[in-house]
Amino acid sequence: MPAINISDFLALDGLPSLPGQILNVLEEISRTSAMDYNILQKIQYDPAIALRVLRVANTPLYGYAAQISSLQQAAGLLGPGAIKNIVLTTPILERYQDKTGINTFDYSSLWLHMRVTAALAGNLASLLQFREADVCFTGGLIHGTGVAALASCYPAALLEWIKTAEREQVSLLSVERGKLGLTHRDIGVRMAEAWGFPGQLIDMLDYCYTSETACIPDKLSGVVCLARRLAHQWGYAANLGVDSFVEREKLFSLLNISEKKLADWTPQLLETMELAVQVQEE
Amino acid sequence: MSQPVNEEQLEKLKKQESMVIRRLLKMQNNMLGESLLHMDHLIYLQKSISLVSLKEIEKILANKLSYILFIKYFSLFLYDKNKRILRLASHNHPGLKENLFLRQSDSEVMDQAITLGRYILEQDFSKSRYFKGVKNPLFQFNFFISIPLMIENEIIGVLNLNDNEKGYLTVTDLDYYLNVAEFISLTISNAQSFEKAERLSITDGLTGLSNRQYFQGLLKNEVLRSRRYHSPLSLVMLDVDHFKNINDTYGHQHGDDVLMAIASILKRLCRSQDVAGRYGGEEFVLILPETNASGAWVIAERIREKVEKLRFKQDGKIYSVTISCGIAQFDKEKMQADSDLIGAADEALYQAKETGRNKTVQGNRNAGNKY
Repeated sequence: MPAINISDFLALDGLPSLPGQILNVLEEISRTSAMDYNILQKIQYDPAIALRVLRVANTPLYGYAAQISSLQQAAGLLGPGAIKNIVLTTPILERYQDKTGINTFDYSSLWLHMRVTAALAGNLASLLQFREADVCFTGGLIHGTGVAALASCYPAALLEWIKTAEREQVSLLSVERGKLGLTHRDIGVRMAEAWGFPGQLIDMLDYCYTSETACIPDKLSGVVCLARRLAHQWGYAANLGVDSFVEREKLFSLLNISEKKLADWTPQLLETMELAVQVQEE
Repeated sequence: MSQPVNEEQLEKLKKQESMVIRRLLKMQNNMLGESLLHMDHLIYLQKSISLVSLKEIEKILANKLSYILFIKYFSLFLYDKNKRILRLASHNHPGLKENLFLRQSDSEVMDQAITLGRYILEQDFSKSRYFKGVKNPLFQFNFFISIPLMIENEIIGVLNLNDNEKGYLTVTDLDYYLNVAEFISLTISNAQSFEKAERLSITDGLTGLSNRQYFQGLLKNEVLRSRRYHSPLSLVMLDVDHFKNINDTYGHQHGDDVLMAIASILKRLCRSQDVAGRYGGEEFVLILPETNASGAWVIAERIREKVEKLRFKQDGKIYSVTISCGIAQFDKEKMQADSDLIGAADEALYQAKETGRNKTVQGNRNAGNKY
């Protein structure tokens, strides 16, 4: 197994995306007439593209360093031309490098999980009447930054740790900590810091993979945690073996909701989730 | 966690993926090529119109802008916000008349672009509310876009674009047009600022006539020309009579009004080749090329009479002012330089003042004269 160092991740200027995903976005951009164009609709379901857009928008070049927390804000700031160029230069994720296929990581499930979490987080925020529903959506979309980075750079190692976690019935985080000395949560946080993301997104990346008993102080992280949990529960898990979630009651208390309220919202949330699932992916 | 490891399935997936990647690379190649082409064109435009002369910029745009934008037809109007007038500055429409001026309200679409401060885009102008039912045989495709040219939220013009080879407008095209429009705005604004600065540097701020520095340069050239081509050249110096009394009685503000009114008469009565200037205080000058002393006399008298007929009103009182004029013709035998001509006209003006004011006196009339 190659030596894995945090500096490998900090040197990345973004994550690669699935080829079909990039192709879809580019085809949409090039065939769409200027009349009915909404750049946000084209990019909002791809975590890798979203991360690249956020990274560029948070550079001092555009005057809002470490202040852009959502794709909506970034799209308004950068404009369609800059976003098109970001999509155009997104690297392609090569999935089938391993000739045996044994070490082929299931990127599609991870991408789908992040997409579903984004849709649920955005919808939950609206139902909770949070003003920053767009930030919650974006938070949901990029919450798995660390895992996605590990999967892109070291898929074989990640697969092995997932198997170990399943075999030993411990969380992936603890296996990673034992093997690597750091976790995908740490990687996500450090990358977001290196890319100049706003504090609220960095906190969200930190808290959403926190331990079961931990206390989450802010609502953005709470919404993303709940969305992640619901995505898992409703069949769109990230397939990371044994996953850990913050206790449901703690999230309910933080967000001031009840089981009944969530049950009332469930049909709408499921509908949103299905729409996100149906977003065309190769 | 991991995808199927069955060899057959894996091969199938790999094949699918390689097909997608091939399509993606082709598309990336096309789009990157288009971006590079846009960048090349933008750099070329920047090199072509980095000029300070607005006229030159307008000429270059007329020749090149349609190629730079990959568009068939364009028109660029400059906007005078005080008069709410649009002037056609550059275009490539066949048959569109030159020196076209429009009131802002004459063009609903440009009026909207100016009022809203954002572009107006319609895929089919004949169906849009601006040109409903209008057909233009010139256009193969009917989309149009009106882009306001803005500098720091101030609108300086409108760029109208019609028709292209593709027949439709993508968001990439639109983004490119907006970038080019921004660049054109900046270049035009710089040229306008330069022309304004140049104008101000040669113009008297109060009267709008040429200032002393500019006038002296012109006179020097005219004297050289007169000497070289043996052409007549005259100079008139005019001074407002008892101007101090006007200032003391009615105030300096009113004194300024008097000077502006006289300047306005000078501008009106000057011929195209004549130059009127403010020499200083209440003193004016007129350079009259190709004019002998008797011609200058006629012009000076006409001005003097017009000024005499002016009526000013202040604090309920109506009063008039008069001017005295001294004229001199350049005499290449007796005069060395422009300062000699000024001296002769000044001497004549002095005589006009001494002999009763409100009159015109011709200097260097006879051999006994100093000059």
